[in-house]
Amino acid sequence: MEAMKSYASDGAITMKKPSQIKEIWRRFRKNKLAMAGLIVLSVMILAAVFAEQIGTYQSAIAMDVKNKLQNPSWQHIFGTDGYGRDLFIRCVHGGRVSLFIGFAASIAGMLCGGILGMISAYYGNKFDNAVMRTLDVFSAIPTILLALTLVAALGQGIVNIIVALVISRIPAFARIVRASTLGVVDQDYIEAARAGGTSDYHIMLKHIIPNIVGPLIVQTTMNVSSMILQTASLSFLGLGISAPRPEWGALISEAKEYIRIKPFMILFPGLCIILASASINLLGDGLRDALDPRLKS
Amino acid sequence: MYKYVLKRLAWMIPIILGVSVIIFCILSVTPGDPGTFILGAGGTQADVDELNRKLGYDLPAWQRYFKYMFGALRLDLGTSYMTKLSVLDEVLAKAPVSVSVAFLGILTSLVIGIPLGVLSAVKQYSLLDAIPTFLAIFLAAAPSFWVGLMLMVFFSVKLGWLPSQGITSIKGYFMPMLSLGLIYGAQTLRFTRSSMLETIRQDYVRTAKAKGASERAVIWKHAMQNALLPVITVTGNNFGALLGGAIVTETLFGLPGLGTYIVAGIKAKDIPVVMGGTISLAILFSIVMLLMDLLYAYVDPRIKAKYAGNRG
Amino acid sequence: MAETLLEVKDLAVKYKTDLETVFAVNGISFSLNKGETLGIVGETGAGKTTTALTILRLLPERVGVVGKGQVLFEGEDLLALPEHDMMKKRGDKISMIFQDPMTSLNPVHTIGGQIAEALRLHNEKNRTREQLEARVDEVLEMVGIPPSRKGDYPHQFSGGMKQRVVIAMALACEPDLLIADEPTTALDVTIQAQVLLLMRELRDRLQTAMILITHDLGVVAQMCDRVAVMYAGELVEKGTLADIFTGARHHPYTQGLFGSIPKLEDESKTLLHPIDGLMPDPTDLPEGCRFLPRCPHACEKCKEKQEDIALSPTHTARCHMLERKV
Repeated sequence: MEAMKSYASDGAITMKKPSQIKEIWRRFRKNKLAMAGLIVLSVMILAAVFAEQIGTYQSAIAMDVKNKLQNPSWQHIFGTDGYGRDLFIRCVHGGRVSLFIGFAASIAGMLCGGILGMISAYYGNKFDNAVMRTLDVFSAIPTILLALTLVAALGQGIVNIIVALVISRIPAFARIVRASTLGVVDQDYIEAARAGGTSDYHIMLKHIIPNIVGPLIVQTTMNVSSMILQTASLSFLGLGISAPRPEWGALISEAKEYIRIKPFMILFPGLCIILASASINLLGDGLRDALDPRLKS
Repeated sequence: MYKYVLKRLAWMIPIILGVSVIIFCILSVTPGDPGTFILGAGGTQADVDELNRKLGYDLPAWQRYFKYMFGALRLDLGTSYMTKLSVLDEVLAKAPVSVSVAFLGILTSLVIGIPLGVLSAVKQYSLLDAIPTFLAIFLAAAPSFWVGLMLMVFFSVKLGWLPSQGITSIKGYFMPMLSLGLIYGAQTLRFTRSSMLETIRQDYVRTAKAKGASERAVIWKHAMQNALLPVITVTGNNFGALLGGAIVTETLFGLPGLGTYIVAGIKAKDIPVVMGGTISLAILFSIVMLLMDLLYAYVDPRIKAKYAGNRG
Repeated sequence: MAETLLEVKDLAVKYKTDLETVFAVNGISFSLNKGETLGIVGETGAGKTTTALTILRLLPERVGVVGKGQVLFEGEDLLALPEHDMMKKRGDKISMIFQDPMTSLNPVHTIGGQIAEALRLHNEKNRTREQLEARVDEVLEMVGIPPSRKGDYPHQFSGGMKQRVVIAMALACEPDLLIADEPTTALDVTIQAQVLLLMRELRDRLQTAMILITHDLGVVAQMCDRVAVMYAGELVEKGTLADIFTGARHHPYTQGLFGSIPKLEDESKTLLHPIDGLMPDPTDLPEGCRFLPRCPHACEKCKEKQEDIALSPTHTARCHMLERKV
């Protein structure tokens, strides 16, 4: 094993160096599951972006009671809901909301938590201590509960839900970034930069961020799927996206009352969530392996 | 060791205080007042003001906070605005439900996750690896209430074996337990698998093989204990998350636990209920974390040494 | 004529991953007599550790593949043995000491327990638990650790002490062959000397044959009877200690390694002298001499396949330039 590792690293030096991103992509492409995740996710994102072209938002919320509770058919491939609305179109529009909230909350959470964690680790001492203790307090409140009370305070709506999710996710991101920053701060090159009079801002931007960005991207990706699940849970608890706007979790919640007669109504939006979040997880796994090939055998 | 435990217990005090401040602040900015909420559209402004005064809601927020906290010191968590029931009594009645559901869920997840995780790591690249891994990917991506609903479709609607709501009989625990067990079991499986794969590549595992230990002995004697160390941490976190995260499962199956209690409180802006419920959850969470740390110290001599030392 | 203990014949090993195939060891042959110590020297990544792992059949599963060759131990091909029989040999007949004592011990088991395990796995004499424990004490004392510490965990020991534990574990069953892979590289210089001294003493006392893998020529000079120089998966030069250290003619790589060849009497540590350039890419090795790109004497003939040239009955080198002078 040792020999192989050293061989590999020696080999890397003599190889004609392609750019780093190309190399990562080359490794990523070899991972079939991750590629499948990427493709499925891309299709879902495209469907969300072009939702209006697939079926207008009006048609997704307009009631058509004559056609209610129809089984899946060629005309309505997911069937129709209790108000006669096409479930496939509602799922597509629901994906728009779920995916948007998932990505937006994840990226915003990463930025807020990441900056906090990095500054905390970089300056250390009392400041770090104060931040970490505050985060301990936040961690003692279950994230879903924190998000729930925040949504109740801020009011329902996409932006408020994103804010609530971001706040409840900051502790987790701050911890991750703090840990990886601590691993970098002690390195000699940071000491050297400091001794050379480089400003803190410059050190963080040029020396720390490039060294922690890999795992951070992976974490952010993985987080998108838990954000989607959290949004769904909020909707399920009645404090998420409110009717008539479709959202995957809300769709399941609406379908609940028809559990005895039309269980497929629960099945489809659930599969949408699973497909999206599984793709994101696989993508994240693949990214992690591609960024750090040492972890893989 | 005792010193460490005492220190951790003492540390719970600022945590609980912090949690109470955070939740109280959020609740204070939540629009609406209990008077309006209870009387509904029918009440006149005078009636509403009168009721708010009776509930003590006319005072400024910080005064209400201190009043509440002084009460809490004497184990008086107030009474619900809506039901007039003592919050402490309610919490004491509901906490066991939440704890037992969380505990059963975690237990199920371990029973499912660890053996399958070890198996798929040891049989890497075979079908015994592929199938559990695939199921785990699927379940880890599923919303818990969806899994619960699917179980309901199967066990209650199709087979009619289990009640879909409540825990009037012991049967009522089965589906909540299984849905949580499946979801967290999927996580445990993935985690056990990767931890195990990581461990069997360690130098000391190679040393054990070089001593002439068999594959099986290497796995069970050398790799297992080390591989489970991170799994314990994750299980602890899961347990903590489950105490609160079971809110969804409790709501779905209509279980009278802390989760449903708090959610109802949030929706009705029933401040004593939300405060009391959240603080009890935070206390439970801290205790679980402490127990997990102690368990960790028990299986890892390095950690034990650290706690026993002066630094602990 | 001493009895041959180990004979490696034309061994080739590669590492296959999804991305590439690394040719780590490419047709090496050497032999080792009972009680003798062979030093394998070379740069990092030359294939030394791979050779050692192949002898014990501990190559990473699925990734490490033996392409060809035989490893004859007391006349028996280890590569052809069923896993179960191989298990019996490991730790009993052949032991190994790994490079990094910090990670070689299981952190959650006591050191006494880990030594006892080696004994218990090869307990043909059916010794009782008490007898095994007595043996653990004996072995610990042998490496200079008070037996009272056998209930301690690895994290309670320093690096040098841990390596003593590893040595105790490897020698507990008094193996015929001990493979030591850079046993002192991870240790402080002062500790290195102590550990080497200990190993030499124990080897002499137990009459153990040894393969010592190192890149430290000082260590080789102190410990070895014979030396093999490894480069890019090949043994480019083999000979007795005197052949390598005082012989007149050498493979250009060996010359480069030594910089100037030190006197045997000179006990001062002589580390590898850096040679310009890097080892060839192990995923894409040249057909002829692997040292060609870095060799100061390179010529057209170097591009052909090289054969071992005998310089004396005990000394061979794989370079055509040495042939002319015979």
